[in-house]
Amino acid sequence: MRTSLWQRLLPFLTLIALFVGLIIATPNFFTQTNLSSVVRQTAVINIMALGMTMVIITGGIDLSVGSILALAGCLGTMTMTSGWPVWVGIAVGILVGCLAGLLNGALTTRLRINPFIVTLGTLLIIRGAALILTNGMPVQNVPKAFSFLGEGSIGPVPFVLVILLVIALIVHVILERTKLGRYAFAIGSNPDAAFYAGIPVKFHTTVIYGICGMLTGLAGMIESSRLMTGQPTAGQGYELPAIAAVVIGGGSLRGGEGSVVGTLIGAFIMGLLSNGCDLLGIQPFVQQATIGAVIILAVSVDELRKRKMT
Amino acid sequence: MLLQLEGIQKRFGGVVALRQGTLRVNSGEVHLLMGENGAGKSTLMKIVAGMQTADEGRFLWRGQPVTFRSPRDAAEAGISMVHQESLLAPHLTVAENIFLGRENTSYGFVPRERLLQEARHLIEQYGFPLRAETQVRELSPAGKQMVEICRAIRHGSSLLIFDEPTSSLSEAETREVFRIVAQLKARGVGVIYITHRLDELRTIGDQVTVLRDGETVHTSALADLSMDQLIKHMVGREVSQVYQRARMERGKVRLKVQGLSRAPLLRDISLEVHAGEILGIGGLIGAGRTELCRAIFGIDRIDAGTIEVDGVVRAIGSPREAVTAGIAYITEDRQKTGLALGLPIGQNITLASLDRVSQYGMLNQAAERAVETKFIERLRVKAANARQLVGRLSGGNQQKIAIAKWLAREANIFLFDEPTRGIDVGAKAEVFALMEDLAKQGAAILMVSSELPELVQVADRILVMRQGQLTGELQSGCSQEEIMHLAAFKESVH
Repeated sequence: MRTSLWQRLLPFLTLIALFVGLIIATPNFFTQTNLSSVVRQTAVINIMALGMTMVIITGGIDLSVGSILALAGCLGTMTMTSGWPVWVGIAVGILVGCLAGLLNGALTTRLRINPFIVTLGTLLIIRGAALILTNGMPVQNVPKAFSFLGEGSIGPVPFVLVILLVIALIVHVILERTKLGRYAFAIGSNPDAAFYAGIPVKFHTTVIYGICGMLTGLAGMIESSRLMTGQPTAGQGYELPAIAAVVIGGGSLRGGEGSVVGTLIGAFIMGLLSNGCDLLGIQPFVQQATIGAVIILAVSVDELRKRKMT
Repeated sequence: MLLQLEGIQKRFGGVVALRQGTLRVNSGEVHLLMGENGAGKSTLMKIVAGMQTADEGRFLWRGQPVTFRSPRDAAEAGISMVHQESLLAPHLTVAENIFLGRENTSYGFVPRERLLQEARHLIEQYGFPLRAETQVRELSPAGKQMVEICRAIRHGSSLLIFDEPTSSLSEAETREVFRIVAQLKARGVGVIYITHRLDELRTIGDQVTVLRDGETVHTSALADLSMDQLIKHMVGREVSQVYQRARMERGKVRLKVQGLSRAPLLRDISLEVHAGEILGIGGLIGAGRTELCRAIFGIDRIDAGTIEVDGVVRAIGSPREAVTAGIAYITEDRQKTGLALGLPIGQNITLASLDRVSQYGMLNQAAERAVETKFIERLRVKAANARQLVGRLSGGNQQKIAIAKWLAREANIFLFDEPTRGIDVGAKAEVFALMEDLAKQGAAILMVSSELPELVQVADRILVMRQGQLTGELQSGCSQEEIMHLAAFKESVH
């Protein structure tokens, strides 16, 4: 049996409705300034959520992304302040993220510890490392040119949007068109069957965590570029909106389900909600509760849809 | 009349699961419900047990029209289901599970001693091979079923539904289940019994109802029906129950195992499988047959011994290496280890052979589609298209997908572990035909089976295992008794 078209389009329609609703409700919403600020604010979470999508598809989870973001940002900016060119700093940030992700993957697969526990541990370890490294102080005096990454524009288009779209395309291609992506789905759907089919499960799982870390490293550099400092305390609690974006977009924490388009829609629904609340002058406290309710609502609608199909 | 169902209909979206379900069960009667996979047996039973509601039709319970909205409704009316997969709480004791949800509490507390005593009493009354204090997770599948039966009796059920209770049980355990069923019958309980094992039903059944394509096509006393007639009703055409295969010349040795040991269950096993040969492995449950497959396939590390593939000794330390060596393993539990149920048919088929349809890690979609279509057609998989999820297929079609995965890989040594478990007569014949085809093309096939008639009919040679050792070799056409003798008794032929 197939899902009816409109059920599959539901998250997308919600996003459109939210968008149109906000255009009608507030005059300040549909302006270039506001829209590009929404894009800039959500880009960091969005990029992390794309990495998280891959991890969740394998049936895993990465709670340490907020800490990885901070460590990558600090080491990247430190590279720049010690005289290296900006691009080297960015590369270092991405590399640090990648290594942290590989560490998560290796610990989960080799020690066979639940990824929730492993990344809860590395969340604290990596945060600690960032604080020790910087002595708890932000990294200052970052080269001016670095601000382009997070704040630059190409014509009217925020540069981060370009980055986001390129990353989204790459992750989409990985998931839908490569062996790695297919294995990710298979591992998430049934790790035993994947192993019995001769798939190197541990290797591919580790690679997926590595990619998630890499994207988080990039997100860390974007965050640093927007703040123009390397903050060892940056990104606290970012793992939750990243995970929320994935599940609102139809990803399942049981693994085997999730998509780039879904995650992007999920992330933008949350972004618009919080922007809309700001514009409408709704208290930030109410905002939080609203987003929480949306998460539960979205997932229950999705579960209902799946139950209907079986 | 205990239960009367007339013209029951049930559809899921556009798919009709039941179009004309009719069933009448009396007290003190064992009523067999037969039919191929996907015939609608499970749906009908789920309606009876309150897990689903019928779209149309009359549902009378003790002569009164009823609608059960939940299993609890059905249980309160006196209907219980003994599930194929156990629905017990593994960390609780047998006694606690028996009373789960129905504890007679005093002031909110559960009186442990009274609970235990009542459970012991019940167990003794029927002679269940259980202890009230045992944790359920320590029990065998048979033991768990016994606990479910206890639960049903304790809750005062007057109709018990058994959904393929013996499909994973040993001979002795099966006899035990039959004994309990006979006792229930003697006490006036009605029993509906779903089974695929044609050999066992004469022992216990009184009445039989056959479903085909969602419709009740036959109801009668079992004694009035020959086995061939029964099969004809189920399949809708004549099927020769005795499977005859053409014998062929065997070729070179493809798989050679020498002195394979793994503590504690495998001891010094040596065997050869030739190209074009189907080697049967017989033995009781727990004799180490599955462990042998796992060891050859690199899932469990071996302590000693060598594995030769096409004359070359291979160090196989993982399924990856086994697959590379051209070995395929069709596991006994396809849902747990054979298939990704949440993924489409097509992706399951190409799962083990993505290397063949990709370059530099990028999938060639056209090539992949071609492989998917080829095997869906070749194995006559009944599905709307390759995008359908495997979890929605019937057991027989799922098994075909599990096999197709290895055909796509072009493996040439096949380990079939209980290849016909839980699949219907029609699908069984197709699986055997497929195995024969593979043998004809020069594949070497090792087949583990607990179904003695199948072993005798399908295998060219049969090796029998007992407690981790090979106890003898039999040629095709041997009797089932010979296999049982080697499987159950001590003296060895070698």
